[in-house]
Formats: sequence, C-alpha cells, structure tokens
Amino acid sequence: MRIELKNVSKRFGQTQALDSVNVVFGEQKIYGLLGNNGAGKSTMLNIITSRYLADSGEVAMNGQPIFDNDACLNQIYLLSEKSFYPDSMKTGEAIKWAAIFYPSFDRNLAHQLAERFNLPLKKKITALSTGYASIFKIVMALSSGAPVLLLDEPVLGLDAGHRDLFYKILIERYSENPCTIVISTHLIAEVAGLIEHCVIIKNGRIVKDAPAQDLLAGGYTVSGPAGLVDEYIRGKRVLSQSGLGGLKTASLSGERPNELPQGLESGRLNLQEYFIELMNEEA
Amino acid sequence: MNTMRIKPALHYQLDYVMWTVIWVIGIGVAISILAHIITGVVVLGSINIGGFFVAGDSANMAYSVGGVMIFIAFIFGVGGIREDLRFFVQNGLGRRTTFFATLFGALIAGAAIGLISEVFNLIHRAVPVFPLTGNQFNTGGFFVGWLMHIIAFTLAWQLGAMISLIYYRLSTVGAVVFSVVAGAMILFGFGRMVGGLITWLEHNDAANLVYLFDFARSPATMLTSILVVTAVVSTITYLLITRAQIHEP
Repeated sequence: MRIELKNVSKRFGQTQALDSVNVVFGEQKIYGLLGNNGAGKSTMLNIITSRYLADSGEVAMNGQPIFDNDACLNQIYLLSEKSFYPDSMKTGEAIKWAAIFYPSFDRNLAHQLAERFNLPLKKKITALSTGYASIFKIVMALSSGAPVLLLDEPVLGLDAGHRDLFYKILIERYSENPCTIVISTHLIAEVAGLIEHCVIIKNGRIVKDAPAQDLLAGGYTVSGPAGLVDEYIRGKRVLSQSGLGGLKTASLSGERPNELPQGLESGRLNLQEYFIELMNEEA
Repeated sequence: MNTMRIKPALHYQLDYVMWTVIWVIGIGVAISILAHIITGVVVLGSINIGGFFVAGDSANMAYSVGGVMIFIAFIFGVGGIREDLRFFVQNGLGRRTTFFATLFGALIAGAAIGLISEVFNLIHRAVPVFPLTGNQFNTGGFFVGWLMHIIAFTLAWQLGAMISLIYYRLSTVGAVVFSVVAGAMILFGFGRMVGGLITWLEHNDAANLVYLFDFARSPATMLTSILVVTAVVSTITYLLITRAQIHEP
C-alpha cells in the first residue's frame, strides 16, 4: 500500500498546520514521523484517515483518493492520542466490533495481546488509565490486520516495561506480516532502532524525507579526553557536545573520517541528536 | 472508485438502536397497563411531556408508543451522530457510510416501531375496553399510519442529527447563542409555538399551508409533505456530515 500526499495544506485559524506537504509512505517500511509539538504530525495523520478535511491538495492510496473511500480507509488503522470510542463501550466490545469492521482483524491475537499486557476486557474504555488506554489502542492497532498502521504517540503514558513489550511485539508483527508503519513520537531515542525512513516536519513543512541511514551518514560522533576532543572539533560544525569527568563526546556534521588523532574514537550519529540539531538549525 | 461498506455500520446501528427500542417499548407498555389499571379507579388529568401525552382521561386512557419513539429518535439523532461518526471513522469507515447507515437504521427501526404501534392500535380498536395506545397517525388506516411512523421517526432522527452537527460546527459564541435559543424554545414549548404559527397562518389566509400538515384532513398530503421535509433535512445532514472535522469528544 502506497500513500501519497500531494500539496496538502491545512490551516486552523491563524495557524498553518500543514503547508503544501508532499510525501510518500511506501510499502512495507517503518517510517518515523518526527517533529516538535504543533509541527503538524497529527494533522497529517488525521487528514490521511479523513478525520480532518484538507484545505487543498490530494491524498491517495495506490492512486485512489482516500477521502471517504471505505475500501482505502479499511486498509489503514490510526492509533491516535484521542479516544474515538463511545463512552459506554467496554474494551471487549470494541474488539468484537473491530472484528466486524476490519475484515483482517485477528480477534484471537487481540485477546492474546490483552493477556500479555494485562488489559482488562470488561472495563469501560473511558475508565482506563492513560497507560492502559494506550495499551488498549496498541492491542487494537496490532490486531487490526491493516496493511497501513499509523501510530500517533503510541507509548503515551506507558511504563518502561510495557514500552519494551510494545516494541518487541511491533517487531514480531512486522517480521511476520510486513506492512507500512508510520510512528509519530517524541521519544526518538526509543524508536531510532526501528525506523527505516525519516520524515521530519517543522511548522507544517517537510524539512527532511530520507532513509534514516542516509541522514545519519551526514554526521558522526567523536569521543575521548576533553582536551583532545576540543582540539579536534575546533573549526568543525558541532551538532552537540557533552562531557563527564575528563571525557567528552561531540556530534559533528560531515563525513566520518577514516582516521582520527590517537586517543579519539568515532561513532555513529544518534538520530535524536541529529533531530535536535536540525530543529535548531532551521530556527 | 469510492466504495461504501454499509453492512457492518448498519449492523452496529441496529444493535445499538434495537436494544433501546425494546427497553422503551417494554417500559411503555408496562406503564400504559399500569396507568390503565390506575385510571380505572382514579381520574387523571392530561400529563404532557415534550408534546406527547402519557395519560388522558379515564374514558380514553392512551399511551402513544409511536410518539414516544419519535421523541427517542430525536434523542438518538442529537446524541448519537457525532459518537457514531467518530466510532465509524476510527474503524475505517467514511462519512457517507455513517450517513447512510444512520438513515437506513432510522428507516428500519421506524418500520419496526411503526408496526408495533399499529398493532397496538388494532388491539385498541378490537378491544376498546383495553386501550393500549392512542395513535395520532391512524386516520389514514394501517398502512398509511405505518408509513407515517417510519417517515416521522426518520425525520426526527435526521433533525436531531442535523441540530447536533450544526452545534458541532459553531464557535463558542455561536454555541452559547444556539443553546440559549434552544433552551428558550424548550421553555416556551414547541407545541405552543407550532400552535401559534398555525393560528397565525389561518388568520393570514395561509390555510393551504396548514392543510399540508393536517393529517386529519388528508393523510396522503401530509405524508408527502413530511416526506419532502425529511428529504430536505436529510440532505442538510448529509452535507454537514461530509464537511465535519472529526475531533475528540
């Protein structure tokens, strides 16, 4: 399934939430949709799923317009921050109905996942804590069988153990049943290992759209004694630096050198550092 | 090509509506039987709630299942449409599907309720000492009365949905104004307003307009009139649904 946004714009009052966005989410790949608060990530996902109406532009799946097209919408599951379930509905009922609405919904998997996460099935969705509300949405998304999963802040309110379990299950599901996954999150360090392709958005505009490896190849880290590091980075473009005791690590922009002065070690650039620098740079 | 998956949406709608309908009818029948037993002993005055009467005098004790259900349909429309829209969109269905599932749901539920109401009416005619229902649409006979229930139920539902969707689109100021106007209307009573309007129309040589909605004079004309109003309200509801931004509650 290939989702394509062409010149999509959306304004809320004085705020330009999306500004002529062009982006393609291709088949069977894990995308990271990264951006600061209010960058336009959720708006983009809401427009893809027809919750919001774009002011202009086109959204298509395999060339077909998605808007109000059940055949397309049924191929997408959006895990959103907000609950769109009726107030009186219980978790178990939501699973029952999802199995009716989504032809590929795996009810057994949903029950298995609910058990793994200790999600109660007889509790009202609105009565769940923030963490369990996220777990409920995760169970629904992973069981939906939809070839396109849009995960908007999927681990909101989850503790470390449950976050780890979620990432494991996500990888399991992806390896068993490859699909298109778009993860929109603030916890970049946690998803860095999963993301194959980054779409970075700022103030409603796409500022980077490239494979994660290519982005990270544009920089490197240097670590070692503080004095040596300071000497090495002089005159170079520094993305970030941090020190502990007499040791220091600096992230630099540019191609990773084959050789470094003795006493220094080079490493791979961190996606979170790259993102922060990119946000500062554009500001 | 745009497609719709109405079947699962309709399944959900009917599941949601039918249980409420069964409960309301059950309670309604129980109340009317109880009220009838009581009125056998005590003479009650008319009790008016929202334009339909619960109890009349002891000679003509009546309970309008159809009338109550039309009021319930309005509540379904007001309270359900936004929740349904959010739920269906969450489950991969579109706005048009939501509209048509709601429309067909109202028609099917209206048909079932109309049938029950008309059967009650037949019982009332056959056994006049045991009147269970006072059917305001009965003048045109069983079939016309049944059709009238279906259309009135659908109109009430669509009207409720339309009002809810208009409210949904309003700004904070607009919502406050809307609430005040709606509150005032409820306070002064729809019935009195409509009555006043009819009197005004009669005194202003607009008798033909009154005739359009006078079931007693011409059931077929009123049926057609209500059908046209339903079509107009449904069209507005459709346009509102297809243009709504779907937010969290």
